[in-house]
Order: sequence, then C-alpha cells, then structure tokens
Amino acid sequence: MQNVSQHDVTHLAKLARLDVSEEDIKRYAGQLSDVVAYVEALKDVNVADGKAALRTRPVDSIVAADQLRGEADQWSVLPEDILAGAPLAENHYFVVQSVLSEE
Amino acid sequence: MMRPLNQLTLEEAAARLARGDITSVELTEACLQAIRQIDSKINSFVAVFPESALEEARASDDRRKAGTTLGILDGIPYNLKDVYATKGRVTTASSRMLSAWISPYDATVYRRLSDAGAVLLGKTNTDEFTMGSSTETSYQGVTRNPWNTERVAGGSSGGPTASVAAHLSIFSVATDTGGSIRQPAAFCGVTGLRPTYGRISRFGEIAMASSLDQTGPVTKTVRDAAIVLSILAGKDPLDATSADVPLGEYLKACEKLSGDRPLQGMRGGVIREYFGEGVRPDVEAQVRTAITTMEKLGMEFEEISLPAVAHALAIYYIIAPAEVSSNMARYDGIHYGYSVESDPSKKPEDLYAVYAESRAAGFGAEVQRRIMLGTHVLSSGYHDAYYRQAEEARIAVTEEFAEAFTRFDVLVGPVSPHPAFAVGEKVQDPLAMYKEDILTVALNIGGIAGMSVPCGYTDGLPVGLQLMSGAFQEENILKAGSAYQQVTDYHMQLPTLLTTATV
Repeated sequence: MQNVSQHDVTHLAKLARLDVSEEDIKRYAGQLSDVVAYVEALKDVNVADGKAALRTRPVDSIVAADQLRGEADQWSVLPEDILAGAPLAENHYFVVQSVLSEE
Repeated sequence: MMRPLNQLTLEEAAARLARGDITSVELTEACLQAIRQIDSKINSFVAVFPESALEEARASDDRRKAGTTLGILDGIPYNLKDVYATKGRVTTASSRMLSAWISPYDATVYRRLSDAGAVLLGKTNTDEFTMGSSTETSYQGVTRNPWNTERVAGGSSGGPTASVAAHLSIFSVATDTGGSIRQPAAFCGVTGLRPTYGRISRFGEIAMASSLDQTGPVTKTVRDAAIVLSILAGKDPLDATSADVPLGEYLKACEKLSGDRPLQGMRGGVIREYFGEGVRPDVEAQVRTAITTMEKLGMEFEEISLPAVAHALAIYYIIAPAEVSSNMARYDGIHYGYSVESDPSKKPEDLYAVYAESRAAGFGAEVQRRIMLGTHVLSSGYHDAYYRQAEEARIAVTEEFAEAFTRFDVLVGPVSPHPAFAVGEKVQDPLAMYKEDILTVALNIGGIAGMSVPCGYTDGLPVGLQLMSGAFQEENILKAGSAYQQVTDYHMQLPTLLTTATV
C-alpha cells in the first residue's frame, strides 16, 4: 500500500506550484511513499505534548527607525538592482500575468 | 623540495606573509595554478575569479607594505560554497533556478571575510540548494573525491571540502543543515566545523531550512577553523536569529599545552547509539582508536545512551522538508531566477502556469521531492501527525543533549557509517541517500555544535571523527580536536590525486 498515491502527488504538486509530468508523478509517488514510511516511525514515539511552544529562544524583532535610508547606507539595495534580476520589469514594477480573472 | 605555497595551512601562510617570506600574490597565484591543473579532475569550483583575486592579493600586499594589515586573514586565498550572495556576481546554489542570478547585495559572511582582507578565489560546488549528501544533485555536475575520483566528495559541501583537500584554497566557508559540512569533510579528510545555530549570521546565505542552517569553516587544521570562526562569529543586526552570545576565545582554546596530558580534566561521552549495528566495523575501529588516543591525552571517557537521538533522522526529514517547502516558495518565475517568461518558446497561459512551469523546469528532482514532502507534512490532515509530532520530538532531542552536556564536555562518535561511496551508487534511491545523514542530523535538530576531524583511513579513503559540544561551547571541541591533531598527522596527508598527479 502506498503512503503517498499518485493522486496525492498531483494534489501536492498543485499546492506547491510544480508542473509535474505524468511520468514523474508515478516515480515521485513511489519515492515519497518510501520516505513517509520511514518517518512514520515517529508516530509511535511518546513525546510530551505542548512543549514545542516553549522551545523557541526569545527572538527580538528588529524594527528599523521610520526614516529614509541614504544610498550610502550599507543595508540599502537600490530598486534598479533588484529589478535587474526580474524576467519582466517595467517602470519599477515587476510585470505579471493578470491575477484576477474576468469572472 | 619546498612545499608548494597552496599546501600551507592558514596559520603557516599568515606567519610567512607577516615575515615577508611570501606575498599574497604568490600565494594566490599558487592556488590559481593548482585550480587550473587539478580542478578538471574533481570539479570542485563552479566559478573562479583570477583577475579580481589577484587584485585583492595586490591590495593586501600594498596594505602590508604600508603597515595597515587588517589581521590574520589579510591576503589569505579562500573560496565560498556557492550559496553566499556576492554583490555583482552570480550566486547559483548549483541550481538552474539561479544559474544566472546576480546578487544585488553581499552576505554578511562574505562581507566579514572581505573586511578581514581575505582573497576570494571563487565559488565552489554544492548539491542543488544544498539538498543532498553527495553533491550529485548539483546542476554543475558532481564533485569527485581527491582520494579516489570514482567516489563522491560527499555533500552538500562537496566543492568546499574537495577543494581544501586538494589544496586548491587555503580554506573554505560552507553550510551545514543536516551534516553538509561534517560528512564531506570526513569523506575528503579535512576539518569541518559546524558551530551552534545562531553563532554565525545567515544574512545573504541562500536558505534551505531556516531553523537548521548554519555556516562553518572547512579547513586543513582545527587551529585554522578556530581562526576563521573568530572572524565570522557574532551577532548580526541583519539576522534576527543570530545569537547575542559573546564570542569564545577560539584560538586560545587550541593553545599547545605543556605536558603529555593536555586534555586532563575533560570528560568525553561515547554515544552508544553511534556504534555497533549500522556502522561499518572498519570505520568503528578507526574511531575507537581515536578515542584511545584522546584518553592517552588525559580525556576520561564513559559510554552514554541517547535514545531520543535515534529518532533524529525521522524528525529531520519531517522538519527540514517542511522548512524547505516554505523557503523555496520565493522562487516564482516573477521576481528573479529562472522563468518561463524569459523563454520565447514557452507561452505560459496564466499566472499559475508561470509559477508551476518555471518551478518545474528550474528545480531538479531532489528539490521537487523535498518541496512536496514538506507540503505533505504541513498539509491539513497531516500537520499534527507529522510536523507537530516532529517538533515535540525535537524538544526531546534538545533536552537529551542539554542533559548530557551537564555531565560531559564533548560527545564523540563517527561522522558517517562508511567512507565515501561511489558516484552514482545512491542517486536512484532517495531514502538511502537520506540515511547518509543518520549520524549527523541529531546535532542540527538538538541545537548543538560539532566538528569532523580526520582520524584514519579505510580502503584508501578518509574516516572522520565527530566531536560534539553543547550550545556555544565550541571551545571544548576546538581544544579536544587541536590536541588530537598535535599527536596525529592524518590531517596532513596529501590525497591520492596529488601524490600521483603529474605536473
């Protein structure tokens, strides 16, 4: 019995925004099933409930002062430099296909 | 015959630069020459920067003449695992997704090394987005082991470790999320330190699993590792997860102590679950011999059982993919990186297609597998059974280690159940590849520090000894490791590639 079926992989691929081919779906289902079978062992381990919430080391969120950073500020990255990496850019905007449909 | 300059350790090179015996240009040229002659056989570098490296070396020599040397790293040639953002240059993570990505900013790790005057020779190979244990998932081809080129260098930091083993650089800086510094260091016979999570900034380091990633030095000796750690460690305002913990005196911890029992008073724990079934007898034998050597140096060992640690691999392969699935979501074919919008032959019909087709083409199979595995364990209906359970179990591992370190200064064991395996041997079996991490992941899960040092050979391949310390107690493993290297010379042996290579 497969832990992760081909139907599951199709669902996961959609959630993960991955256009996986039919051939790959089959292969991934087998491989992911093997891994899930292995990590399943953890289900039977007795763990104290709720402690995970206490685990995190307190981390202070760093908040910057509400002021413009100069170009000389070493933390600054210029918009031009960021957009230079974009596949499609125009006038300081990233260009995307329409997000909202007409329906 | 004089030892070639690229074979010097960091300390030796720094001393000779300080005395004026050699120049940084000579040292850098020696490394560049070695890269030209040897790297085609191991494929450790993905990018080499000869012009800028020599410029940096000249600037270092000028500073030395002017009496404004920046410190011990000034003029020392090194390389970076290709996961650190270097402004104006390509950083690829050995992926198709970022194969042409020019970073608009510098990683803190890179900036600290530049500010210290170190000379960047180039970028080295990794498994794609650091996911793997053999550097075989790299978009740039596998990195081969300088001790036997039919074998893998290990992963994900195969490039860094193979390049240092082959003396193509004086040191390297790499990352370890589940063993990615320690395992390839063991396979290649070099020293690989993975400090405590939060010790070194992750700003500008391409994220794989945000609660597990950590930078560490790959060096020829433990003392060299201590030097690099001193430069890289410290709180960074650009990384909220970097720890506000004072630096240790890392090089001082490596001080050559007088007498033949320099480790007197140190308590060592031998992890029971790291020996016996599942570890090859020849590997176990080398590690036990190393333990005996440290006993002769004065360390007292006892066996300790860590049952929670036995679950660490299952915990890791739930938590790590979960975090991967989140971190990989930024690669969307819109903001940067590979996109089907840049391919005139492809016409994505809508926004979803831009995401899905860019990601499917831009990511290799292993990355896709981990994204889907992570998505699975986080998805509704499975989240509690897998992810939450793993997070709870992670606490048990953390507590078990914390308790152990109240009774021991250092824990020891092998790094890997076997030496380097053959290229191609495990690529068809993802689960078998995941099990390569079985002795390394507990450290990442448990939030402690660890290091691999060479401790012998089997079948002509290096074996690594793993030393672990409690959180932010790296001085303990540096002390034990450097004392061990004072009475052994495994870390000084030249790999087969260099002893049989014709110049």
